Amino acid sequence: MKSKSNLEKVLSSRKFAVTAELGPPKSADANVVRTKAAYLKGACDAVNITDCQTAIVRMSSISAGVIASQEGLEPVIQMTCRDRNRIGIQSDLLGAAALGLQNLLCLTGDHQSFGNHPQSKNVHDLDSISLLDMVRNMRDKKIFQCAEEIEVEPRFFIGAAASPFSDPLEFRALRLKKKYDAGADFIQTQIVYNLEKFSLWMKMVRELGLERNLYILAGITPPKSAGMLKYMKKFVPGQDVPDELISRMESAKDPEEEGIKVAVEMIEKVRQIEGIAGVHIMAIEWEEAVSEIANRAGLLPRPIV
Amino acid sequence: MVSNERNTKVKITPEEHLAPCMAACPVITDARKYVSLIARQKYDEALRYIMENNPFPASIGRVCVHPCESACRRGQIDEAISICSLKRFVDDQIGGDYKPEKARTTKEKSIAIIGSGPSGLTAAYDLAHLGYRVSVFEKHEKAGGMLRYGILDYRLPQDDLDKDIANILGVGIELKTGTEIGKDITFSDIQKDNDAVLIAVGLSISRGLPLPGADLDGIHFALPFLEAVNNKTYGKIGDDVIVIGGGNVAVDVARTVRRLGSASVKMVCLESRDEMPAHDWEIEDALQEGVEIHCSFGPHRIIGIDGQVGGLEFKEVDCVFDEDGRFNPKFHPTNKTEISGDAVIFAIGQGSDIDFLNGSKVDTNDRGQLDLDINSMQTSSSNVFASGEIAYGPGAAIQAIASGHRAARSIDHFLETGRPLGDEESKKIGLSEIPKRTKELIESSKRQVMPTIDAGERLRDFKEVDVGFSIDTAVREAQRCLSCGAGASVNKDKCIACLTCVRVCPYEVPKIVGVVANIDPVGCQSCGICGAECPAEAIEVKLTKEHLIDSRLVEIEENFKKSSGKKAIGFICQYGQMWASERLWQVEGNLPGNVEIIDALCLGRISVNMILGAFKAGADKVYLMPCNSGKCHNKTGNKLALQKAEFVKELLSSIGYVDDALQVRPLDFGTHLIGTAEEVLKN
Amino acid sequence: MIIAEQKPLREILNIIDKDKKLLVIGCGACVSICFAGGEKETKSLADGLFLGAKKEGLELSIETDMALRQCEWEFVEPLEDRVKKADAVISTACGVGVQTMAEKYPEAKIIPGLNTTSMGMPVEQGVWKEYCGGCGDCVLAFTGGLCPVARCAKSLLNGPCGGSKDGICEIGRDTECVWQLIYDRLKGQDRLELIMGNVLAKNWEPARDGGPRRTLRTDLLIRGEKDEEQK
Repeated sequence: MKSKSNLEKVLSSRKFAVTAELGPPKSADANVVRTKAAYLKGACDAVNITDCQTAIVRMSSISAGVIASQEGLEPVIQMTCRDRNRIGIQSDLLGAAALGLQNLLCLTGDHQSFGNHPQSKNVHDLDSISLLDMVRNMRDKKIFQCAEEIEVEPRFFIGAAASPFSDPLEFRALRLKKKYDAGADFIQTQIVYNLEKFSLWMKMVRELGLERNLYILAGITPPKSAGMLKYMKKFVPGQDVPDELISRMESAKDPEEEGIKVAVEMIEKVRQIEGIAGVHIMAIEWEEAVSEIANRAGLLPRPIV
Repeated sequence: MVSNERNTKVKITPEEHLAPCMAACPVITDARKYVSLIARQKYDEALRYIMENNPFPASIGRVCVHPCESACRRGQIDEAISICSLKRFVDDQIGGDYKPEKARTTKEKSIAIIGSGPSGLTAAYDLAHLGYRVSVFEKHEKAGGMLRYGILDYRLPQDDLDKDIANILGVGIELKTGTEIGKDITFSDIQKDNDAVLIAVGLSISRGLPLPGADLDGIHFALPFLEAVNNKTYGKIGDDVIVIGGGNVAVDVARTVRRLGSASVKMVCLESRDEMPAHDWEIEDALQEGVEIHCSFGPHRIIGIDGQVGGLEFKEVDCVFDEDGRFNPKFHPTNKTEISGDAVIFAIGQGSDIDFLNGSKVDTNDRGQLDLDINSMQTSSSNVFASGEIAYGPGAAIQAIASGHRAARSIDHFLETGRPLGDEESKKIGLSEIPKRTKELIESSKRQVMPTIDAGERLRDFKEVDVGFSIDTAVREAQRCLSCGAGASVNKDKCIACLTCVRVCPYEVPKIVGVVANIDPVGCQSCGICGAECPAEAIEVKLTKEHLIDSRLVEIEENFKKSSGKKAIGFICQYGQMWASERLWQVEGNLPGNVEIIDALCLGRISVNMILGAFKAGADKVYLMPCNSGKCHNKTGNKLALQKAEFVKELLSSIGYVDDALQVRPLDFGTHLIGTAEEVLKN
Repeated sequence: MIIAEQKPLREILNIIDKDKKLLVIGCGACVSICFAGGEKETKSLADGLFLGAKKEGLELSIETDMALRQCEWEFVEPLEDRVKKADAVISTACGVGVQTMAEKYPEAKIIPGLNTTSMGMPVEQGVWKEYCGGCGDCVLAFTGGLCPVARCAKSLLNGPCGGSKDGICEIGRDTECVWQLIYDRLKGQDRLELIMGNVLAKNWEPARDGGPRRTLRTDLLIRGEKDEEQK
């Protein structure tokens, strides 16, 4: 085992894993984290704590992660390259490990122009791949990026994101291989709505043999409304929302119920795809839906390993 | 009148790129320049410019052989510009209002000119401007020479010739008509009383042929015939008239005979149709008027019936010119033809009458022609000069005018220096053919047709055939001009090879050669876009400069200072204003008091700095009137103007100008120019 | 070349404050070519300032002049008389030219007339794109001649992020995804292997992050390397 992570344990025991997502508040209010954590408790193996997602300032991933773990969840800390250079990142990771956090998702980060501080200067000292490499070396080689030794190394179960629907499509599986080469242990994908395209990507992934060494969790998001899907289709990078799904949501009498159904169906379908090791359920500002979805998809209770 | 810029001083450097019309013109008139002034409805300036080189605009605008049109490069795209008729148009518009400025007599010396034809009067005009006292002697009752007595009203109405002559004499020339040298006054007296004498008597004698029957009744000669008709002392001379000759005079005679009521007029000439020396357009008119033309026949004998002309016998012509191209007709040994006719007019050539020189020191050669130095036009008597047809032989009126200019130069040179004028041969090379690619990019546009009275109606009297262009027709025709040679030139010291001109030129002309831009005048269409865009101000566009925008702004600034209230300046595209409901030149006096218009042939040549300059001149409002989008003489000129307007608008709003300080008012069908000006001012 | 654009007139007007006699100095190099500070633009800037001040009831006296390259001591030297007579000098050069003026004329009030944006090229008339980030350690040999440091919004060195769609970057319609271009180029050349290996943490020391750069060619020094090093 690379870490003491529960998620790693679930995945390495070849159980179908469930992760969820918790967005920290735009405030210093710990109760928001605690409330959200309560919804997710027992519904998943680990919970991603986002790192100023879409470049909007929120409570830091590590702090919120610590609060979540106090509530009995296992957090997956997210770390982007946008806001910190290699000094800041390594420092934070030492701290996160010291606070008992076990999982780390390494990301490039959304561009700050999306967020509420578009005038800020971005960093991008590293990119997600050099970040992965650095974090793995900290763990496995016990060295900082500068090659200096670390006496007590941070041991993370290391994750990365994959974006199967972004361009250039043919490069997406190759990029996954680069992430694997750089040190990724598990992968969480962008939200899957276009199953056909996703299957095609997975086929390319299998051709590279990546699924044998990488735990791939498919991204699942229950749509709350047709409007939300339209927005995603138009504005959110890396999304592929088929029109049929939008019209299905449009004609739904109870969109939220329909959304949950969509998520459940999607889980059942991705489960059929060879090489999918689990699902990453991102119920955006709708954390209470996760346990319902997991339940209906027959994923509860979560195994204890 | 800017006398020192007149033709007397035209000097052309070989490297200068001349508009082909200018290079082809015997008096080196930059036709392009006045055509573009007409295109901008500046008739006054156009006439003033024409008068600098050519004091006979009304006459030459009608009868010129217009070599400029043969050279015109618009002909390489579709058809040549109707330059000659445009000259006439200007005169039609304002020639009557033209007030000649009296030339100042600054010199003690006086000059006598014998003959008041185009050559003699041109020389008189120039010499008067050079400060001499000039008297012109004319044996006829009226001045004008061949223009008066060789051309009839249907081509050149007397009134129009009178107008030209009045303007010429108006500079202060003494004219003594009805004064024949050798009869009323002796040549030696004239020579004695003056510091120089110019003989410009033309070729006033019509030649005949020593044919059998040449003494019959009913034989006439071209010039006396035309003169008599002009003086109305001659009427119909027959019902079936034969005109011998194939030149322009013969055609004139034939057309005149038709107008006198002769049912049948037959022209007979040695040359084949293609070889005829008369101009095609003259022959065309004659044919329309029912003149028959019999080519390739040489007269052999005039057939007499009872001492009266009864017909003509011809020999067939095998060839007119020999292998070296010399006139040397060869006739078929046997083939002869006869045609009927009750009168014959010889129109085969003219000779000189210089008997008045007998006894003077002015030598003639064995053929009775003046002994002349071709450079100085000086005779064997050093202060006696000659010009026009007497000096060079038969030619077009415009050549006589050119010769008059040269004589004036030569006389002045001689009187100032005591030496004869040397060879002043200047290289006149017009721009060569438009490059293929540029041709493809130039839009075709049809030549405007000169309206004429019906062929049937023409023969009733001597009413002028060509009616003249209307304002719209003339301006449209002038706007077809490609403005050859008025284009962009690159200041190599300022060029930074930024490629802007290369990128913006709608005609793909500029290229970077070495380290600087080169804009080949052969291709340049003078649209002015590169000049407006060049960030280094390294390009000067002659046509834009001729628009005098900077000096207009200075002038406007002065005007604005004198008045209170809101002020506006409009930049208007001259091409586009042809769609408007009024013509700009009519509008100018009727605009609201504080509105000034700056016109341009395409607003693509208006730079950002010119627009800002309009505000600096004191305008509260500035407005651009480009052609309606989608239509532009220069493809992108209006688009660029619109973009500039947007750019400047933003600039202005950042410094506190109101939103509508700069407005765009595209020109479309029926756009009201005065109404637009009022609206702009009101807002 | 260096790309720049004119500062908003309002901003310059605010900076010049009470100065009446202004001198606008253009530069004949890069900023002329990019229509920011050449002969024509210095004049339009001068006119714009004049009109802006006039709106506020002030009469400015503005002259313009040019330096062949404003980033050279020798070329700004001939401006001395005019600079001394002016209350303020507006330099329409890039930031380098402005500083050349400021150093050459330490007494003068030098005001930048432009915002210097980037090193790039006019991809078409009126459009300039940033092409070089001056990172001091060129990677173009490995990226098909297309620079991800300057042309990727996140300076990624290992391929496109998830924000690449239809060749366009997630930050906006006008920005191409340079990684799409790199991928296409290398695929076309059958050299995709160039980007298959991972580029690990880049050394940013030669970039501006390592401090202001000073570039030296010792063979060109006239005073000698030692003098130069002592400096």
